[in-house]
Amino acid sequence: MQLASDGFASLVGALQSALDPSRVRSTPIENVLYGRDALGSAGGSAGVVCFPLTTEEVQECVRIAGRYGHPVIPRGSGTGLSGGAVPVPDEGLAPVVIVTTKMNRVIEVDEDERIAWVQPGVLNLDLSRKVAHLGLHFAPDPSSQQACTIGGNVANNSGGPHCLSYGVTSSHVLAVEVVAPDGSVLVLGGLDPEPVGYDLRAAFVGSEGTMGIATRIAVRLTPLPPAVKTVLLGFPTLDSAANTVSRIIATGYVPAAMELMDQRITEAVEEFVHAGLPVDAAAILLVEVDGTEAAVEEAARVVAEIAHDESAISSQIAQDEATRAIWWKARKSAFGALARIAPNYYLHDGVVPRTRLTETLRSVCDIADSFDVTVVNVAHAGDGNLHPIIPYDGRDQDQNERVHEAGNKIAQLCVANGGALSGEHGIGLEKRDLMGVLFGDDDLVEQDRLRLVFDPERIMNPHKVLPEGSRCSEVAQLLARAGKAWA
Amino acid sequence: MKESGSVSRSELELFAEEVGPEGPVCIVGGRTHWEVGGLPDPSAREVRAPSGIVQVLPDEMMVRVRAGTPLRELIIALEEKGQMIPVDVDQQGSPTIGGALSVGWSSIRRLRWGPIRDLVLEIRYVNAAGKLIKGGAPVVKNVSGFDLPKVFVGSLGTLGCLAEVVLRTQPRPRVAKWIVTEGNPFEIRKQLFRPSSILWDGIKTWVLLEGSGREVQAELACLREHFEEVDAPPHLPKGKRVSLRPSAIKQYATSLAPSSYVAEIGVGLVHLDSNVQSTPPGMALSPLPPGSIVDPALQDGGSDTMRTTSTAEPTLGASLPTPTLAVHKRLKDFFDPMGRLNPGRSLL
Ligand SMILES: Cc1cc2nc3c(=O)[nH]c(=O)nc-3n(C[C@H](O)[C@H](O)[C@H](O)COP(=O)(O)OP(=O)(O)OC[C@H]3O[C@@H](n4cnc5c(N)ncnc54)[C@H](O)[C@@H]3O)c2cc1C
Ligand SMILES: Cc1cc2nc3c(=O)[nH]c(=O)nc-3n(C[C@H](O)[C@H](O)[C@H](O)COP(=O)(O)OP(=O)(O)OC[C@H]3O[C@@H](n4cnc5c(N)ncnc54)[C@H](O)[C@@H]3O)c2cc1C
Repeated sequence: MQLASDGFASLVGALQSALDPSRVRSTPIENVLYGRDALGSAGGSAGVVCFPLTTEEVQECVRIAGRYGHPVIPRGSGTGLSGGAVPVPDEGLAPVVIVTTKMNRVIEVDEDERIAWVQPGVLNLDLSRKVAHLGLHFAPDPSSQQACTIGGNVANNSGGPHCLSYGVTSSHVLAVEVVAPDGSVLVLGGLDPEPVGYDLRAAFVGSEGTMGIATRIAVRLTPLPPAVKTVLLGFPTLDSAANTVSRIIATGYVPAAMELMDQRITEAVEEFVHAGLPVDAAAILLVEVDGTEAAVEEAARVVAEIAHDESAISSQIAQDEATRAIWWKARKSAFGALARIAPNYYLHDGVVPRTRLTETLRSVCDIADSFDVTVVNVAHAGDGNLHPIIPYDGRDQDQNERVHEAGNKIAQLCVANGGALSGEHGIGLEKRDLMGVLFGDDDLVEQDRLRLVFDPERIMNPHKVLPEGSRCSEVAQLLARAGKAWA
Repeated sequence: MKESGSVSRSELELFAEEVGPEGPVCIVGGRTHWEVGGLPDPSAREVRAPSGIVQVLPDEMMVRVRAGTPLRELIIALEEKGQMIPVDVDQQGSPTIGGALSVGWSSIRRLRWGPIRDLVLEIRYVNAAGKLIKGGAPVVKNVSGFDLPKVFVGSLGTLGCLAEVVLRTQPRPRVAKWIVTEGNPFEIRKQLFRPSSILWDGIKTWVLLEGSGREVQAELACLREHFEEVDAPPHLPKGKRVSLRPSAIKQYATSLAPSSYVAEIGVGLVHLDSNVQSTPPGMALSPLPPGSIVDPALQDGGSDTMRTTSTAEPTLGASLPTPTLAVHKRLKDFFDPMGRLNPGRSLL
């Protein structure tokens, strides 16, 4: 990398004169600190790390990086689980990492319209807390919501337990102000229902930092439900839990959330959180229904009846907010609790048609056995979104390899069972080379075409999402034939 | 190629051959919205997407359907399995699912069920080079790669020819009840938790409530206004659709004669007859972020400021800022470098 060269020094100098020098850092500590995300296993190296405060400062950073020909890596809190924010040097040039965490203001809340404009560094849970007194919340609720940014949620089109009935981030983003790779400011989408032009907002949401940097986001706020009932169910087998999920969906009641945990993870979490989970059950389901008082009574009764019919060994309804909160804390600390089992964990988030959940979970266990690794299962079961987690010791090279091999096999299994590679964590670096399992070459070239619409020079977060081979090369030729300019 | 999950593969390939790699083509559905975006060049060769329902999967809340399938046929097939998609079809013509997605207009039940773009999970389309392309996947939640399916919604057949789609469906609500009242529609919205639709013509307000019988009863119990049950929503004027940020409807309505329009409250669409003056002078609505309202705290690093009402000056029919317009144009250019797909038709 070109870290010590004159070019690099003058890049840093230019950035420091554009931003306050204290907000442009390139010491070895930042190099390492911003060289990874929560995937852990993929490490890059941040060349220079910038902390802008405004859209204009982001523009400055992007323009300067462009002038020096260095790649730009947008970054929020770094909680991503697919290596999306890992800075990969491009042709040896040190990446300019643009961290949005200091852009953390809620700019405007329109209570009547139920819309908020926020800066990208606002933490997911902070937004919900700030609008709670208005009876509103931001519905996408990744388990990392205390730490992850709304900019990161937009870039990854993040999900969460309650996305079963409320939809993922894309359904809650109305408009995005974006600093494009050439430093210009774009406005994608709008607050009105049918904005002019193509739905570029939809292209940007889930683009994993490859199409520009979100600098302001208009999100939809959702009313807090008048009533909620949370049901904790214990099952004698994984199958009976998964069958309960399918049967609930088949009744026509769509719960707000339907989360599954197997026995091993339940035990680990219970030791950690002391939530009173039924540790004797082979699997537990946390089902939440919301709506009007009468509707939730009815839905909770249906859920309990189906569970009973599927031989549930325990069934409890949270009687107060404290119980509900601790059950959710238990679910949302599942990954953290794994530290008790092994120093590292590897996690996939493949998704399958929900009717194939049971057989897929069984095959996941078979794969783990065949690689002699342990797997524990958490799942956003209502969406068919698996989270098989493999605890391991990363210092052991052999284990490391087996764990990653098993992970790849699990991702391939999800596609073979009619699903997809990732339900919410994104492709990033981690699953990039598996994209060919889900898509053909032409499909991937078409996705590259969409990326090039925003970033013709491939400056933004290079080497992510699409495998290196899938490059759309014909656009330039065809445009030339049509007498049109390239960018 | 990978496992397609589709039983209609060869038919899709035939369609790809028909579209081919050269010469102007225009893709035709039921021609019910043919004039939207302007008429295509008459010399363009007409092509039609294959038709037929491939699979209804109620347990997955999904349907795989060829793009040329008449919407009415799809709605009936879903009804038989207790499912639905939120689209509206009236009596005239035979609109297709490919046409509905390409026009991209959402149902009047959008308030509850979301915009039509959120229905699309997977698309198969023929691109400008005549190749059959897949985007998305047949699962309700998916972030594997870029979201081509949503970009195609509302693209008026200018980016590719839809051949087959997988849509998310919903269990059909057991009860659907329209009521009418003279209450203030904005207040009514606050009183209800999940109304499916609130329509207002300046005098009367129509509300659609859907769900189980108890759910609908519980919602009705929250209404403080006097109301009556009715069989159907009001007739929607078909001349023009005006898209506003939802809070701007109140102000906009003051320039219209009561009963000359129907507004979708909470959504921001106003349906008008074509002879109604739709852009009152001095009023405009912008999709722009509140550039003029940059939080003063941003500059001085102070604490957050919260505003509870919008101060953004609305600007109607706003044109796109230049850099944004350039990206829209580039999308068309990159997906259709030779300009052969629906030539003459434009979104911009
Ligand atoms: C314990 C734990 C639990 C989790 N649970 C969930 C879950 O339930 N559901 C879920 O979906 N995810 C979950 N995640 C993953 C992660 O939290 C989400 O993907 C989150 O949205 C990432 O936000 P971030 O701010 O940390 O982004 P980062 O990790 O910093 O970045 C993620 C990606 O977004 C890009 N990016 C960040 N900010 C911007 C911006 N302003 N503009 C453009 N691109 C940008 C980056 O380049 C990168 O590609 C979990 C992670 C952890 C560690
Ligand atoms: C009176 C009326 C009201 C309606 N209101 C609503 C509503 O509120 N909400 C709703 O969801 N639907 C509504 N619809 C249905 C929907 O809008 C129409 O079905 C759709 O707009 C046009 O369908 P079509 O097949 O007639 O398309 P056409 O009129 O034939 O074509 C419309 C456009 O779509 C393109 N197109 C057609 N097929 C394809 C394809 N396979 N691939 C790519 N592009 C294609 C065409 O090239 C053209 O640009 C309504 C229909 C009618 C008749």
